[in-house]
Amino acid sequence: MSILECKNLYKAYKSGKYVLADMSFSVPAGKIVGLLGPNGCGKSTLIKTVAGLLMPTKGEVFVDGIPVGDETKALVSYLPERTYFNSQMCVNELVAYFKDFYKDFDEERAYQLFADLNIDTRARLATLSKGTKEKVQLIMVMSRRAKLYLLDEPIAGVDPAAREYILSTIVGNYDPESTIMITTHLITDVEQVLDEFMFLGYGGQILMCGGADDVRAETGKSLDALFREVFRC
Amino acid sequence: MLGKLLKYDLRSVFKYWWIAAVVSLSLAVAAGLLIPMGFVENTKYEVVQVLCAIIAVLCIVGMCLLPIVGSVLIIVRFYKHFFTDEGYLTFTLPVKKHTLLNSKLLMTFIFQLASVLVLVLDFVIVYALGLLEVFTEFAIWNEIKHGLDLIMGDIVMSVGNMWILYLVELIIIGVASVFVSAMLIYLCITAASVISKKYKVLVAIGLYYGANSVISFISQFSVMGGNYWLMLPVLNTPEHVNSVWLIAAVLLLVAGVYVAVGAAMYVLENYLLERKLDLQ
Repeated sequence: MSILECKNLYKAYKSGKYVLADMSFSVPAGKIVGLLGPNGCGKSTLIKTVAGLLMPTKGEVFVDGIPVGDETKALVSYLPERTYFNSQMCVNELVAYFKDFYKDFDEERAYQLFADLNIDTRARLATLSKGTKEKVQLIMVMSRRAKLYLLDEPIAGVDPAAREYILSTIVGNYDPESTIMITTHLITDVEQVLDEFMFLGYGGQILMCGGADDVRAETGKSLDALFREVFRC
Repeated sequence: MLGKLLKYDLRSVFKYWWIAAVVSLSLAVAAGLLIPMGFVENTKYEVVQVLCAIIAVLCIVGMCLLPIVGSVLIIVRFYKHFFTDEGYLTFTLPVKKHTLLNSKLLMTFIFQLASVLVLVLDFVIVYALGLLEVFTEFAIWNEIKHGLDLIMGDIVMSVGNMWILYLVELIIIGVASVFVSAMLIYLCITAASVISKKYKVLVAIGLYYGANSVISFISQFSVMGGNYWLMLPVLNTPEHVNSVWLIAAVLLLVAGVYVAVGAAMYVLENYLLERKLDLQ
């Protein structure tokens, strides 16, 4: 069964140029899917449309069979590419906030992950380093038992050790029946955890998609090498 | 969900509002203590007396800034919560857009009411600490009381028990005007975010200034027309009974216009948040 389905999706901004044009695809439940493509190809736009932050210009998007809207936000856990929490809040205030609004939030798991990383939950977000803030955000998002996780560039701008931690947290803490969609252009780091992938070209064209292991077996190439071939400048 | 949203909104604004409220009360105490020194001849040096009077007046001006500070805090909260990076969290909460908007409106009402209550307390403090002595010294209170008695007597004689209806209508107009004022600001900020991502603050200020100019023009035009019906001699003619009801009708019309304009703004704001808000 598909957790995410897009039908003839178009998205244009005020300039009139279509960032996504006639996208149709479905994503099965229980997979880690990599949404891979060059900068500006529409990865974040697609993620934000599924998260309900952007209105499609045309077409439909369904999460677990429900049109994207206020109802699907309870099913989707979204991690944007930027810090989006109120920096004046403390970590434990943030936990209380998530617990208040999301029925699927696992407070115990969140505090366990903070303890593992020695993050002081009484600390104000503004006092934390960039890397720690990103870890806090990731922990909050992954502590929800959502059906669909949307992670927009979760490892961009952090050091290699932090990247490894982030990816292990993603893999180690999600429900196997849930689906994770990760957008990134750091393919080498991410491809080991992916079940499926989608190469997105400009205008939201799906240039290639399939099982990560299958395509590696067929072509004898890594996803990173394949990406470089497909998107050769 | 509305209760939860309101809890966080109130908490966020109160974090800074209470400081402004304490400053306002402190200025009231200072004004109350300085007024007798400034306005009653009990100091040796006139310069000291004049300085005390000036500082007392500045204190009173300062304490009246509380509603403005409150409004700024509310507007900043609205803007940051919806149209900055925090908007990514706000608009991915499993909450309807109109619930988010209702929370902001309720927050506005609560803090405006709280600001008014603090201001009333301020003036009570100023009166108790300072003005009472001045009024007693110059026998002003008797004059004020006499004047109020004359005015109230005239009003009651002219309109009878209708003053109760007028009061209710004026309260409705007061509440509706707070709603319309808040909605106008919110609508300008939202419209600016839809029109221009890069210059949204400037565009919002421009929209607000433009909208206020239009509203002022229409209001003045309406008042000029309404003044014909509210001329005092009319109240003393045999037809004054009809005029008394006419005033009630005009007040009801004004209240209705405020409510209708506010409702239209609410619907438009909701539409923009639902359909046109693209957080990039």
